[in-house]
Amino acid sequence: MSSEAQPSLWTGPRDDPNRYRVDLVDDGLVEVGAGGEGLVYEATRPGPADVHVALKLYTSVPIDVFSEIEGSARLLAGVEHPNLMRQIETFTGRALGPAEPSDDEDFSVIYSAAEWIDGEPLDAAVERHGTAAGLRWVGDVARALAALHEARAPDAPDGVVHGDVKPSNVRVTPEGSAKLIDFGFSRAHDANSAVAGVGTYRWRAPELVTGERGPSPASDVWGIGALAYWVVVGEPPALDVLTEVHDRLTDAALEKGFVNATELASHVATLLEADPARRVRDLGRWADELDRIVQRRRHVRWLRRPALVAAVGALIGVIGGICLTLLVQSLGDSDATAVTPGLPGSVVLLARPFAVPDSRSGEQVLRQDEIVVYRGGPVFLSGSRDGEQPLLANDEVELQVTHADGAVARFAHNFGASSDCQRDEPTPPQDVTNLFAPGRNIVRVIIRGGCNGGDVGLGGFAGAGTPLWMVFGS
Amino acid sequence: MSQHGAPERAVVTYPAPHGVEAIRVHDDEIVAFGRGAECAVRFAYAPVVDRGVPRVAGSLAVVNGRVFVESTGTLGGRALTIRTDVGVTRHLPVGDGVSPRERHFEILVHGESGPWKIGVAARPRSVSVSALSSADPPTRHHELVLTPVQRRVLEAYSEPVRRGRLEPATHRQVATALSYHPNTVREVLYEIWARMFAEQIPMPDADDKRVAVVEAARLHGLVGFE
Repeated sequence: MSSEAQPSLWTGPRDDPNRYRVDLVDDGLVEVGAGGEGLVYEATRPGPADVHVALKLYTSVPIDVFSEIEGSARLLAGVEHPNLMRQIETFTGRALGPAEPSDDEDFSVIYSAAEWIDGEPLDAAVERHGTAAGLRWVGDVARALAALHEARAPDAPDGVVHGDVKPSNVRVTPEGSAKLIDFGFSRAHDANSAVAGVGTYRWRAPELVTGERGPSPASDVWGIGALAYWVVVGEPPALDVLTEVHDRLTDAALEKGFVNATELASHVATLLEADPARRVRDLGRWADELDRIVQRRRHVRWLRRPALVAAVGALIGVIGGICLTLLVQSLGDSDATAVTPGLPGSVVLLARPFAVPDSRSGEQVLRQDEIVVYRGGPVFLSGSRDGEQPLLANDEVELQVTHADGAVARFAHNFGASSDCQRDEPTPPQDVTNLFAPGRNIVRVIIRGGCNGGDVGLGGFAGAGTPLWMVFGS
Repeated sequence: MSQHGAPERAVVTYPAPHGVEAIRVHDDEIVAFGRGAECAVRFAYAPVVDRGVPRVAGSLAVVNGRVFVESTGTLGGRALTIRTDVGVTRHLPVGDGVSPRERHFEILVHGESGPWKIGVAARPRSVSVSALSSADPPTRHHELVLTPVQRRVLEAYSEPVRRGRLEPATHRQVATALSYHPNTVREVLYEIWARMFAEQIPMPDADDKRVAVVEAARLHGLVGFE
């Protein structure tokens, strides 16, 4: 084995002082991690099949907290989840040293051994793979936390809290999944705990900063929200601007090309409520929905390519009689009058996927929570067939925009004027900018259309084809 | 005052295995230092042990508002070295004790791999510390005398805050900006923190020394925020 050729240091508990081997690099000890709690080394537990581990030295705490750390580790060892680093053991051992221990050994260093995870830190992975991938990894971590929170043991009747969710505690594996690591602050949830200062500054929930409550599943939920916020905005949420979280998320998501920016912002903001009781509780379901939101953003990615967009025509039209009937019905809807609090000025829409069924007609209603700030710029109505295909003539569409004051603006167009829906001629997007008025709240948008399962959507562009936002079907 | 019930008299910075650490020492408190698990100021024990450092090399005792250093190593072992910030150096053989007149001093513990440096910054006993925590403390002009390196480091940590950001620069950002090692800038930051403590400059109760130091500098118009 090559390791025999290179110098190594050893440690282990009193009954097996050479259980773990740390290989030196150029005769030096190289840590793979260092932080407020201690040092981490890549190590091997030799055996018939060598076990590769992350060996952590707890050097910031006195030896008398060992039983507490061991208790937490025992709890964690019982939780198996593909997105959680697996704990192996915790022990007090001697300092790293030669294989032959001296008579003067002091077994008073706290260690933990955990599964070694190849890969890269979350910040590096997000840098390389982008925001959408980063959010998918946040979803992985959220599911891991949900498993921790649901774990039950005699010593943890209310589950386990991680306590230190932040980018450097997430690793992305070569297989592309994220794993939550570092359980130095993990412990059984104790609703009566009021331990102030636990966790890392700027990644702690407000109630932990003030010390009014201890770590809880809700504070972990905040951590996931902060992680998602960081992926989108580029920094953790500041506690003094919590009221701006939604707007900052929206702005950053728009900049990063999320057509459904407001939906994403609203979803993340549900974790960042200042009041722990108002935060989302089911992180698993939250993660599933996050995946869907990110997925929807992908469906419309092609529309952001200016050349493609320019080539796109709209298979659109208005089914006159049907549309008129539906229009009258929609005008009668009473919920179109509410204004979303906190959404200043003008608004715009982002949508769920809108696919016209084979019945040749369909309708999508965008509710308030799917409407975001409209920043002006031209708005086009267009459509596609089969997702990536250029838009073709034939389909019919109606767009209806309801403003907060009750005024309704409509646009209806029959691009192909064909009843058989078989003409495949590209048609240009239709300018519907005049339906939108910057400075006025839009509380409801309805799109209707039909023909051959083609999609219908809206796209907004600033300047030379730069997308501001769009609504589009899958 | 603190949860100990006694006023905080000094802060002690020391080279923990993962980087410089600090503890506060209160009136009438005794703190041992060395490589043994019984020491509150523990160093030289991990990741590899320095057997030249005694398990208990010495102790710091706060008595009558003064900080006393006692050398408690093995008889015949190496003396501690006390070095004050005005350049006075003295050796403290095992069994001896001393209370330096200066408020800032270092204790060097000599091990096999070199000296291990413990920093001590003490508040003067002539000022009523308890008055500072009252609701209406006396008006006070805060002064902070820093070395050029400390000044540069504090300015670098403060730079994002001066630009309107909420969080100071990270150790790594400061190290990169000043071409220092991250451990060095962290060490200097702790020195500044200790000086602020000794000068009784009010600091927010933040675990993160970057935040405590930069916020204190901002609030009191000190270095970087003049």
